[in-house]
Amino acid sequence: MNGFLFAAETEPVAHGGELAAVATDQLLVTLLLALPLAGFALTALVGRRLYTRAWLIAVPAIVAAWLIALYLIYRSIFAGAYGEHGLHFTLYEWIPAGRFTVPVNFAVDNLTAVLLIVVTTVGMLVHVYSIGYMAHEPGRWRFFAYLNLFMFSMLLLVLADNFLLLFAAWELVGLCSYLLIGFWYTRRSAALAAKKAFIVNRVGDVGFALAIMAIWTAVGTLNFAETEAGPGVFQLLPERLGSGSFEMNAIALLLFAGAMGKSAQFPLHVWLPDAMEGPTPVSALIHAATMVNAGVYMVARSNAIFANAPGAMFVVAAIGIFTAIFAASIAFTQTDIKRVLAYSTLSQLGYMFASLGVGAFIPAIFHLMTHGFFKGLLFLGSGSVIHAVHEEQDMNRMGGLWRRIPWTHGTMLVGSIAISGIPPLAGFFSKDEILGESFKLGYWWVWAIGVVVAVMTAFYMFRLMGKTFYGPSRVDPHVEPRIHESPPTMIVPLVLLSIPTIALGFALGFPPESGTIHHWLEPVFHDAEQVLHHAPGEYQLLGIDGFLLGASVAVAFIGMLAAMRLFGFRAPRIGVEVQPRPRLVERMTARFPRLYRASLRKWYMDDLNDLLFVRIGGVIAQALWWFDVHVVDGTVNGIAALTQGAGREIRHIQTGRVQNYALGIALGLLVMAVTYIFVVPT
Amino acid sequence: MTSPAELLALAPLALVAGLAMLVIVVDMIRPGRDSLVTAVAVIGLVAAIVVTALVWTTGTRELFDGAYVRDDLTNFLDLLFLSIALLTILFSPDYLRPRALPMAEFASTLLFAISGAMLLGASRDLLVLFLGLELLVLPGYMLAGFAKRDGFSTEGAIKYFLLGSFSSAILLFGLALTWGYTGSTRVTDVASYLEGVVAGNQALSPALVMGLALLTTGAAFKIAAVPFHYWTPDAYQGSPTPVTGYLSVGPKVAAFALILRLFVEALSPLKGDWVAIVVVLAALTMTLGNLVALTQDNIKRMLAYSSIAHTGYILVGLAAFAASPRGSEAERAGLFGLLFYSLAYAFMNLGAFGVVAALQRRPGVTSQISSFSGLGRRALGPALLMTLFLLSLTGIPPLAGFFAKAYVILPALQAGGVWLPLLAVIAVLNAAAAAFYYLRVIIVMFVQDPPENAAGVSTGRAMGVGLAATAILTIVIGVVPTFVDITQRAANALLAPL
Repeated sequence: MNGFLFAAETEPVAHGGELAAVATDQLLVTLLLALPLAGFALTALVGRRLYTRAWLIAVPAIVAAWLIALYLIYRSIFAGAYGEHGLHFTLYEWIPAGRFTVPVNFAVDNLTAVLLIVVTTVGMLVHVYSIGYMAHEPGRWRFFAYLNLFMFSMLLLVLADNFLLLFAAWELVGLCSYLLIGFWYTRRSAALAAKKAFIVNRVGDVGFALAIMAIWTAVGTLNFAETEAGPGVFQLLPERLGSGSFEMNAIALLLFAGAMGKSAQFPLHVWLPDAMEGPTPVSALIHAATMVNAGVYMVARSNAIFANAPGAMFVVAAIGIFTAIFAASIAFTQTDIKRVLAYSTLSQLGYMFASLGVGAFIPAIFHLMTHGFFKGLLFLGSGSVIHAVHEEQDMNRMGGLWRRIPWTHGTMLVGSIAISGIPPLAGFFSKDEILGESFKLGYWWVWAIGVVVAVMTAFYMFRLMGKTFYGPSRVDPHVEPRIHESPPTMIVPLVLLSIPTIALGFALGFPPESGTIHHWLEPVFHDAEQVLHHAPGEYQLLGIDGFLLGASVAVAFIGMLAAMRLFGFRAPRIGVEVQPRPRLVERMTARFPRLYRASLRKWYMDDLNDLLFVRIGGVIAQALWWFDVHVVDGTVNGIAALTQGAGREIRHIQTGRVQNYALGIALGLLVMAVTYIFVVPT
Repeated sequence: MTSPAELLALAPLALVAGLAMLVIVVDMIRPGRDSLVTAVAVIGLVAAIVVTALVWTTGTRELFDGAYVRDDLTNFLDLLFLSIALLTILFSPDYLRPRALPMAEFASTLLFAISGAMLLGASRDLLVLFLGLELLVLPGYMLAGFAKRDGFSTEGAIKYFLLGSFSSAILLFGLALTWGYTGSTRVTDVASYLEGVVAGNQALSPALVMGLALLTTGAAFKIAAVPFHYWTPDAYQGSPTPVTGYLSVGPKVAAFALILRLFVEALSPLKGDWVAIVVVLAALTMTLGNLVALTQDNIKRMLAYSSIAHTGYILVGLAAFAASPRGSEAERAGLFGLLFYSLAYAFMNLGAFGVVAALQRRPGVTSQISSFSGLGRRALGPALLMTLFLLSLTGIPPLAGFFAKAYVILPALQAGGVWLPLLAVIAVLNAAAAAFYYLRVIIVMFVQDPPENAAGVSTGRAMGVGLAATAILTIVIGVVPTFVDITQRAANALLAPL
């Protein structure tokens, strides 16, 4: 990681044409950020006057940003124009204060490019989808303004080339998330959910902020890569602190604390399910496909730090895989369609962290990418379902919808198969790599739990499909005749999202463990993998790898078939029709009443938090409040009274008589002269 | 002698002086046409800004044997002074017209004062410095007493004039002693002479030490540092509000320009000798300004004391410069902080006075803080603008005032030693105390009920444009790189070898 100041100076590019092209790319990166920001500003200013066409500025801005992003992705990944280390450039010096300088600088390397694919594509489709979804919403201009602001913040997050800028973007996406969860702010539950998300995220952010301070104290810079000012954080930190040192582990754990908040890992996961109070496009974009991945991205970006902090890596793996199985167990029993998907998101994010923790960085990013697409698809599909049954989210009041909303059903089925890990859809490839690598790197316990989670994933997803689409209808009879398929602006994004959901895994992940994605990301993670002593072994389809692959596929089918048998399934083309067996489900739940209740009540996490922070915390807060009122405020008020008294007294110097003033000046001069004579050696 | 290209360097100054006379001529031909006068002044000032920006591209140039210099600092200051004049002109019709005060005389007096400030910022000669200073302050006395039928206005003006003359005499004495001892009035010669004294480890003559004391006192009076601040509250409260706005920024920034040319350029070899005084002045000025501001119930008087406190913050930048070793990064950062603070302060303070002037378009609206009660419900626009300016003065990110404070406090920390970090701590404590009286106005505006007979606020077009420009600047100065860039260039020009 050395020897480059600007991409223009890296080896493969030397001649004038390329220099000009790189300059153009820098302009395009700036434009990529400026477009959503301008869209936000304009929509906020004039959006209200556009009435039903509030999307008129916001959506084209994002479509244009998407096209620019595609070009940059092409340049970075396919043309290799930025070399191994990516394009780095400084827009301007943001905070120049002596030794403490923070530039606004950006980087586009292959990791950023992969994130750009997900962020801009899902973002663009969600914007289009929202035109239809928010058509009857009076505050739609506000919605589109926030959504554009979010896109700006998220792009800033993946493009930032130093920790402080990343942190600013990190807080900005948090703000947008808060604003959009509380979009229907008159609804008490939405307002509470927004606050919960904001507060829980603050807990993690304290860690992140401390990590940034620690990094600056240790190396005196926050830049990721080398600049004119000197080497970057990722090169300096291991040199200064030493691999595996306590400080290194501490910094990594503090960074991970930030990631746990943003990516909703146990025990900071409680905000994400409640965040489903926001409009469904928001759930799809922010709380499934993009923002919640920020933590994964940040850890992956800091791979040079984590690779040198084995203790922290273990914690990441443990928390990740625990969150995966914990969230999956809750998803089993939830009846709100969006909540099932929310817990599923938690579980899949857990997979990603487990993968990062065992040192399999590339599979983690691969899963981030495929998950972004299929979970975005599933959320948008659930929005279409909710739309169809008139804002009903309880799956017990759905059923038999496959005939009424065939497009939604078809696309969601594709998404469910993908997330369950059935080949050859996208989820299979990325999940299989995570499990396989974990096993081969010696983390057999991660693999074992991961396999159990795979069964559970397939089960709860087909439970969701069964309860929503198959069996007899339990829809409210008043709503029943008015069920309708969604408008084209909503269906087209669903269909478009199914394409990567089907094909992306095969396109990037075949052959396993040496697919295209590995070639893309190899340069980014190469050094970290060297530190971790990963030797890329031969892939043995007839050996261990074949066994692991077979196991993943088998468990996925087991989970899927079990759910189909219990909750129904229907595929007339291949002549399959399974009726749901509600009695059998009841009997089975009756046999484990405690487990069932625990899962339904989310393992009492909300109750525990209520006890710890609302009740016990409340008592402590009361005590502190007393202390604050009587001791702290007393002191402060005392000082304030003293200050004000002093102010009142000093005021009397101001007599209003010019003679006194002149005398004061003369005395001041006298004091000054005497001081100088004493101070200055004459 | 002087080539046309060199005359170009004088163009901004000449343009403003010419504009001042043009305004009088226009008023003679078409008497009483206030809007015409305003238009002429505004167009002229915009033209001067454009010309200055163009002249900037031609690089550094010295004129009159080095007595006048047009470097990055001169250009930076000229742009700042011209903007201050432009905004003051935009704010004034709303206040002057209802009170039947003549616009043309106001505009030309102001423009003459600004030409003095521009001369001051560009001079590298002790006599030219003094000439510029007097050209700046004499019209200032007239402006302070502009509402001549108002007892407070004339009283404030007389006090300002008497004490101002007193302090000018003190400063002139100091200049004379400096000249007598060093044998030259050229800033460069004075600096190189003192350099020799310091390098040769010779003792300073007591006469020069007296000179230093006189210069420090004179400069401290001009920037209204405690304990030489007595004139400000009376002069600020009595003056017509747009004049108060101008007095709180124009002469103050110009006085700092004097300090830059005199102390930073001419007397910098002796900076180890005057740094202690600056540290004490800075601490006293911040603390006393904020303490007394806490108890004021007149907004103009409150802002007067707050402007004293801001002088203290700016002095922290100067102290950081003086306390840092030659050529260090903190030295540069201190000067940068001083200049950046002046830039940010000029706009946010002018904006706050602009809103006060807008409220007083209806004669009879006093400048008591209670005039602001319930403003949020009566006139949301002005209330929001006032909030913006007050938040910036408090130092809330991401507004200009926050970055300004950060840029003077950080170098003070980096300068090392005991006293400078202590000064930084005092500055931070002061900023916290200041939040009290700024936020109190915001609370009055948004929480208190408006008085029953209170009317809304209507603003003229010029006022609207001026307030909008000030608000935008207050938001962008801290975040748009251009401002940091030009300020850094100005700071670097000061440190370049003479």
